[in-house]
Amino acid sequence: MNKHLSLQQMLGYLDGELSKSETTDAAEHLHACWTCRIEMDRLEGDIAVILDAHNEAFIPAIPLPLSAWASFETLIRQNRPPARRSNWSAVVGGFRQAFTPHRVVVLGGLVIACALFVYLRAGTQAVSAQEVISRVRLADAKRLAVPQGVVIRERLQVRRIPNGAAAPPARRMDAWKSPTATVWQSSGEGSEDAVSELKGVYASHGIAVDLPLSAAGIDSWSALSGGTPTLTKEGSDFGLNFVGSPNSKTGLSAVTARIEPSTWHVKDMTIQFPDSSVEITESEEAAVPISEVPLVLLAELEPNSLPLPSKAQPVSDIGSPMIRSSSINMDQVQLDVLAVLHRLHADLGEPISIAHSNKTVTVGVWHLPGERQLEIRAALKNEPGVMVQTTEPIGQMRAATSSVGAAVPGLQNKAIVAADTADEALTKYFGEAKNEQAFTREAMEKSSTALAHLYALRNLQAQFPPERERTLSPIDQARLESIVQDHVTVTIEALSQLKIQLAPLDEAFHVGELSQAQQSTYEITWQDASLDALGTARTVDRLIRDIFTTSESPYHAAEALPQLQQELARLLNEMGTVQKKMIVR
Amino acid sequence: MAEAKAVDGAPFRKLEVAVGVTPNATERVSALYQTLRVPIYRFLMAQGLDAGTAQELAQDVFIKLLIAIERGSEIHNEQAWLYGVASKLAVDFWRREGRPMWVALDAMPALAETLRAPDLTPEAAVARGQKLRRVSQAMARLPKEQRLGIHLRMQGMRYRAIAEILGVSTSTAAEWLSIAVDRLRSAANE
Repeated sequence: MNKHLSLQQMLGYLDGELSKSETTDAAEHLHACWTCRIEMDRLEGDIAVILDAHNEAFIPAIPLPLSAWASFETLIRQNRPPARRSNWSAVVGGFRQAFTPHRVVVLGGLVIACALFVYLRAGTQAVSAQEVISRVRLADAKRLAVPQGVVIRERLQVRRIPNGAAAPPARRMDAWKSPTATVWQSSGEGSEDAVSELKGVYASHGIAVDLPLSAAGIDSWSALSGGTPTLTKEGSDFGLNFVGSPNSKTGLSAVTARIEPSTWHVKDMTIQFPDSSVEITESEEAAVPISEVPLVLLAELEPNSLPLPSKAQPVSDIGSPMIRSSSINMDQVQLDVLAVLHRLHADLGEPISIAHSNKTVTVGVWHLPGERQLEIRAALKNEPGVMVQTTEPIGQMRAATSSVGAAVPGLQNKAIVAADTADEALTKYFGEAKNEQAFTREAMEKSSTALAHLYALRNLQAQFPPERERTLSPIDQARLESIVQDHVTVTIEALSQLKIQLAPLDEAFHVGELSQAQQSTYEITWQDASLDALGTARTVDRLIRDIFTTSESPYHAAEALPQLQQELARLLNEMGTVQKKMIVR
Repeated sequence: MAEAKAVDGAPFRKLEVAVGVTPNATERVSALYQTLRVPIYRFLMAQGLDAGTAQELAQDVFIKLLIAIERGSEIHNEQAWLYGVASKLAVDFWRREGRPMWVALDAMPALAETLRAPDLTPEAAVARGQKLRRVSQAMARLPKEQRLGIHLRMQGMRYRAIAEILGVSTSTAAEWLSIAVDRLRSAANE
């Protein structure tokens, strides 16, 4: 073996998946070839990185389930057939008795033989060519209906084979499609000519550039051939064939396409001309977010979505210096940013950082999906003195910037872990596990809503402590208050609903009269009051989890419910204080 | 994964468990359910399923195991069996949906900078964290068949078994794996 080993061969060798002779050849080559031996070492190192990434980054980032796990006993109960047999099951049982395994085998054999006879005799297909075409169109409509901010990419191998000549190596190309445009791009060495040639073939037949392996592609070529489609079976796939008319001026002899019936996707297509044939085969198909599309290509595909340069840029005026920065009131700018994020609900736990200097407010959105980044950038577009950063500054520690969302500890992926070991009294109260799960989910949602808004308040008070707030202009003070009030209102509403939801449990678990929550008598700012409330809200949230879900420290409802009600009353009282402080000022 | 065929069926259909399941089998599967339900759920989520479907299918997988044991199917490695059946359910789901499947990951906070890298300098730890994040994001964006192939390979599954689950030839499965590894390597070495 003189040629260097391919990646697939190296991987197969490492995985012990090569045949005996292939393994021997590869081993001999590795002994002789330093290049391949080093490449093999690199591959092993990269596999280790892939494994680490899977275990340390990919898996931990998968959101936890939103609802509680049913106990295994509950699952069995849910999947067990009812004790009494219905009429239908009696009929089924009768059939089962009538059709013993022996009879079924004999009968099955007869049926298969008959079907085979009919098939061979009539030569008919279970589905027609037209039906296959319809299904391909339907599947394509679904496939191409990608959300905004995403484009389709078909990775293809293309070659033109002159009649009677040896087949040349296939060339790689990518076909990209957005809702407004399609672009073909060469990919790999020597593929530019192949792409140009294919474009020429399409252009000379008046066929528009589209995804080659799509319903549209087949429709265009089949219409040109003028032939009636026929269907063949190729292994597990379908073959669609269109034979061109011999007298046709199009010069098209035939078009064949292979369709995968599980997805109704076109896997390859051959366009046959009198002197040659063009083969197009799919290697891969993917929906790609525009953030991963090269900018040059994106300019052709979706010019309106062209993202701003990835380094921090003044979003108000791309590419031009920020001449207004010296006259900007930074308090005002920061409030503008907070107001925009608040309007977009981006201050409720999304990982966005805000840093400010004397001249600029920098908003870090690098952890957000591309589409959300674009939304925030568009919203901040007209804000002078604002820079949106889409790549994480190297070496910058996250703690160095204040954050509107990243500090919320896993609100989105906190989940009800399980409800299967909740105490018997609760199980009895709820009757069915699904009732308990629904109740728990609802309570957790309310608690999470309150926590999200309280964390937003915490971030606001960190950016505008009392001494800074006092320096704001009256208008800016009013703007800040408006944002705070919004959070307070939603929090109180969520907590009130939670209280109403928990009320029926008081009677069932004999929760007595609560001691009156103490009104704070000392002078307190809204900043301090909201921090107190956040502490209490965390206790409430923990208690809900401990009572209604399996946790490391499960509580019995009868013991913990009074405490939960007490803490909830305290929290509502504290929120009342925050609200009062905002109104009194 | 020949064993997996024993209980292959429609994933959303209510699965009937015979009344006479032996207590030992129930206890055994119940213990596996406690230990492996979250990993199986994550595995299904990693194939682009939404949280609700992944959780439902993860539960179904264990019921299927109980049924298989009750029917006397010979299962040598229960964990591999569970992943095999979960994969088949994921593939069935894709086929019904007929669209690209992406994995929705939570935001990845400063995850790996300090994890398992006590011997690295702060700069090296940050670079490592960024590399792992890039690979992770590339993994989330792999075509679904390649992603499933990679995940099954990580579970120690052989190419032939992976090919059987994906419904392709062994050589195609090998090609997809190498393409996926190539893409992940590119992300790592960007």
